[in-house]
Amino acid sequence: MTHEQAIERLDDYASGELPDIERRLMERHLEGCGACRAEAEAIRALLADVAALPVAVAPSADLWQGIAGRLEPRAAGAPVPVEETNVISLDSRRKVWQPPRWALQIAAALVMVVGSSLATAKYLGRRPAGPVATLPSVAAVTPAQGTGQEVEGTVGASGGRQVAAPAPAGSGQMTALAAFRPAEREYQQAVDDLARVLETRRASLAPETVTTLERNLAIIDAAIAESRAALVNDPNSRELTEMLSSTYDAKVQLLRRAVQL
Amino acid sequence: MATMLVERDAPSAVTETVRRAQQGDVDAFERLYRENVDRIYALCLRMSGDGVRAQELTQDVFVRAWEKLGGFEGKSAFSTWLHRLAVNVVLGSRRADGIRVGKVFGTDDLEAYETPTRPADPGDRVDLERAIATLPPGARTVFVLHDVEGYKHEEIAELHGIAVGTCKAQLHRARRLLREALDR
Repeated sequence: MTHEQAIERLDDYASGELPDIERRLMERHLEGCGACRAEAEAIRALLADVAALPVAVAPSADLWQGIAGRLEPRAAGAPVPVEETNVISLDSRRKVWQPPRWALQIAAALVMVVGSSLATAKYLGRRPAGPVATLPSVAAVTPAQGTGQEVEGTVGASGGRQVAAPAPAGSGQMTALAAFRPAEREYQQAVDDLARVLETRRASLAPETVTTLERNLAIIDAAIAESRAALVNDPNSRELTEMLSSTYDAKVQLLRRAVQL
Repeated sequence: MATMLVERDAPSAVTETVRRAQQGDVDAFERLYRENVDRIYALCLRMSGDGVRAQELTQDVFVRAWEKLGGFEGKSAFSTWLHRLAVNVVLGSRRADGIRVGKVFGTDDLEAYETPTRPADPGDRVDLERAIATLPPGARTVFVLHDVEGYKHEEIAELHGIAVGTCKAQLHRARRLLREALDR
């Protein structure tokens, strides 16, 4: 097994998912490769920590009353749908209301502006003049940032969501990466704006909060860099575009929450 | 924790409580809720990374379970059936949510992890839970299902509607980000 092959299979090896032959080849490689050995040990250490996580976590409130109120009376023997996969829970899109804070009106207003322009940019960025594909069974939801409310977007007859589709190489059509660039600029603008607001409030935040925030931002930035590098290499990848978009979403959301602390 | 699935998959007949709930007995269904809510909430919490969202999803799971309970034939343990249903509900909600801003991360909801039902080292555990919650959604979903819940790549790929290769790439990404976050 070459070093490159070993690197590709380390996750499966650490999970115990390699076939016997490959596992033996991996173990032979690990005997002579300190880097891979250390990597495998680090993954196993992480998995050991994961195995120690509690199987159950009690919710902070009793959820039963909210459930009981939604149970439809059912007679014995009543027909029930058998299909239970790929079910989309409409109730899960309930709005989550958060009370406004007067002291944060300025920040909230900024968030609203940023959110609005962001949503628009995303919409435009995902509707290039070139190829547009519709994914079935995926609902579109447009956020109303900073208001604590969410507004459900228009869902077509097919229930589909429009996203930039990969263009054939050399077709002259806009790639997914190119289609995403306007939205990316808006994301970056949103991040910059929120970061400026956050900077003015940094002194009022607890040191632990700042540390946590910076650590989380570093994680997200690493994810953005990784997704973007992958997208540059594969500019027609719709999945990578969505991954990059969702990671930017996460960064904006984290900053938005931070300025509201 | 992967061994949990083996335990969950033990054959089980429809219990008396399940049978009564299937016949419309809400009290019996409440008992099933009490017996299973903590595990379902833990799944929803880790997959969503958000305490409030996890509570909503947990409620959705039990409402959906009530609606589907008549189709449960006891070929697996009720808890296994319910767990699978919960995964479907969470993944379905994510498809419905799309990539909307505001439902992605829940880094300020770490107090939600403060009430485990068995003792654990709180410092390390909360750090790990915090790091899991801050993973990108796709990576977090695959990590929770694979490394926490013990699902196989092929199962996750089918449930999530992605390729096995994508699933493995997401798992690799998640593990690497977690190790970076935990300085390992």
